[in-house]
Amino acid sequence: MIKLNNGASFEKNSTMFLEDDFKPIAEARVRIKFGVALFVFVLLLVIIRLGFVSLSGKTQAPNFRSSSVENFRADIHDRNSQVLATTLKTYSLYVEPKKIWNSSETIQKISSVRPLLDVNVLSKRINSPKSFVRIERGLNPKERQAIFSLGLPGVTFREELKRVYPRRNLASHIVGHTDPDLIGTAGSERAFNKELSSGEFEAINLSVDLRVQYAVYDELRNGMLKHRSLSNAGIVLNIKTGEILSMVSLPNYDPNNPGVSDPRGEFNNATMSTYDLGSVFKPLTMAMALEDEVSSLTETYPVHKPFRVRNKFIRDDHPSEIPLAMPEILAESSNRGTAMLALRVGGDQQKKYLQELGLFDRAPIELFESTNPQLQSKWIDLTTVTVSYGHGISVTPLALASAIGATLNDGLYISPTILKYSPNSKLETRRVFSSETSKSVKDMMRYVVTHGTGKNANVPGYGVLGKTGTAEKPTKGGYDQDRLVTSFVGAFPYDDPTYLVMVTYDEPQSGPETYGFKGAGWNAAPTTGAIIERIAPMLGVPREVSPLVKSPFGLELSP
Amino acid sequence: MSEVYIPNNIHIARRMTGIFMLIIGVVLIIALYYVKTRSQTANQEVLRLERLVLKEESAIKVLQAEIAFLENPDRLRGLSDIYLSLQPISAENMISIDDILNEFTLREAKID
Repeated sequence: MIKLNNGASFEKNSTMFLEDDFKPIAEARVRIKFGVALFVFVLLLVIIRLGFVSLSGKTQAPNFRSSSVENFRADIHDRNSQVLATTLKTYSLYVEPKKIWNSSETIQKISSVRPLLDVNVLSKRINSPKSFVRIERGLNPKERQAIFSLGLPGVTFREELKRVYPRRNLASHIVGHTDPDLIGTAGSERAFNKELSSGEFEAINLSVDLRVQYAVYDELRNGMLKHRSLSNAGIVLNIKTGEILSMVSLPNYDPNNPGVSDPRGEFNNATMSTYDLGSVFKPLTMAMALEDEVSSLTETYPVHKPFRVRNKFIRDDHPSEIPLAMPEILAESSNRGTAMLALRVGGDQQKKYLQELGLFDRAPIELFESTNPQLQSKWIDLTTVTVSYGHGISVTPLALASAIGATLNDGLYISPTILKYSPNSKLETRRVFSSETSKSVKDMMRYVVTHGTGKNANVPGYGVLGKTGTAEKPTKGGYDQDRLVTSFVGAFPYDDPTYLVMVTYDEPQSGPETYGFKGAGWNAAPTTGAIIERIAPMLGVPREVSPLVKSPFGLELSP
Repeated sequence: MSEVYIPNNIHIARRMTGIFMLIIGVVLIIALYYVKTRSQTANQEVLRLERLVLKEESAIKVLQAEIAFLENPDRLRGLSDIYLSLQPISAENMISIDDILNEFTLREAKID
């Protein structure tokens, strides 16, 4: 027996190891060894797994989404989902001057694949003390690959988003453009900037029909060359929904390169230019007279006699020798007859109707580019007279187109819109004239085309109705006889007017084809007719082939 | 010294239970590790596919812009002038179905 100091005692054993005497210690040592073995085992597993992973050669891609998702901007489409504006990835070329091995070799190789770069600017940037310098932006994948395969150190790329307009000039003012940060600065890009960058929509469908837009653009382009005008503008409206199917203003610009071409090109004459449009106002005066029942369609007016209001003599461009009733007053575009009718309506009622037709405000489209009209501050009887035939009031072509559209649309005013109308949403209308008034004005405007100054706009079979407007531009102290603004407002089909086409020329010139004339009947009217001939089949308006031409007031024509 | 060992079957049972628990623990650890790596691989696969989808989508956009550019009406008109002898349609070429009978009278069919 061995006795310890603390009083414990145990049997002496023959072995030297403590474990043989103390079983707990033995067990503890076994457990420790077991634990170490387990740990080493797991460690081995990890090392073997590590070996597998590192030898398998799988590349670890970055674990984050690419930046293009944050900068998403929706496409802009026309009403048939044709692409008007889209966002594409482009590459920008950067150099890190500190990492370049041989700057002259780098310069030489880069210029060989990018020949348009200025070599002096390039070398200045490559040798600059900055750590990161941009050389070029807007490279497409092929160009990037060409530089990449040169294998130059210190040369890197960054992806940038660029807004691209594949149809270029075709719908410049409608689509607009953005700044390099993809924020809209003009047109629909600006007006719908919030909706486009919200990420809610794949694309925004505008009301424009690009086929109609091209027809209008082509005819206006030909017309501007032929009549050598300063500018012109064309609008096609669906008067039943207010949708703008086409809006062209020439000169225009390529939104892919804003600021490169004519600065006048960014100005949308259809919505930003105000003109004294002249006789195209007359159908509105007719409508007012019929609505207030101050005249009938058959009562005649002494337009053959001189007519004076205050100290101004009202002149007619096509003076008549007999008294005329309303249909002939409109067909021959008599200022005197219109003035007499307007005086019967009275200034207050006239102002009320013009307000309801939206002519006292800017055209209420979604675009920012819509100008307020210029109105007389004092509205005396002379004002009533001149406004009745479209002088002394300056409005934009779109505002007038909407007003005439309302008159023909059963008398209901609908705001013009640049967005595609979905049949589910409710149309907001405002009744300005009664249905009977609308029908009478429709008949009178048809009569203008069959018998009056609008003959050159007629397209057989489509029942075109319309009104010409030839106005002298105001100058100091009066009007300039040599500088005209000519317009034609046309609508079709006669049975159920649905589409309105308006064309305005700013200072058209006469030529041998126009026999020296430059009134609306010689430029705006034939352009409108040409447009209608092209777009009627696109819009699904059937052509009626009939030996008799539909004409109101009981008259039928044979060709 | 007090009694430390319990020299009966409980002792062996406890030991067996202990070892058994240990084995289960190790197995669970290995299983956890396995599941974790599998899910990580799956996640990486998802991200890879999403990146591929984005690449495809942007490629589609490029092609759509290309189509829109190629369908430029002026360009098509130029090509049509060169390669096709088509003329623009005028109003006289359009007729509605109802009017066909009026314009083109019926004639006898030729039967060979």
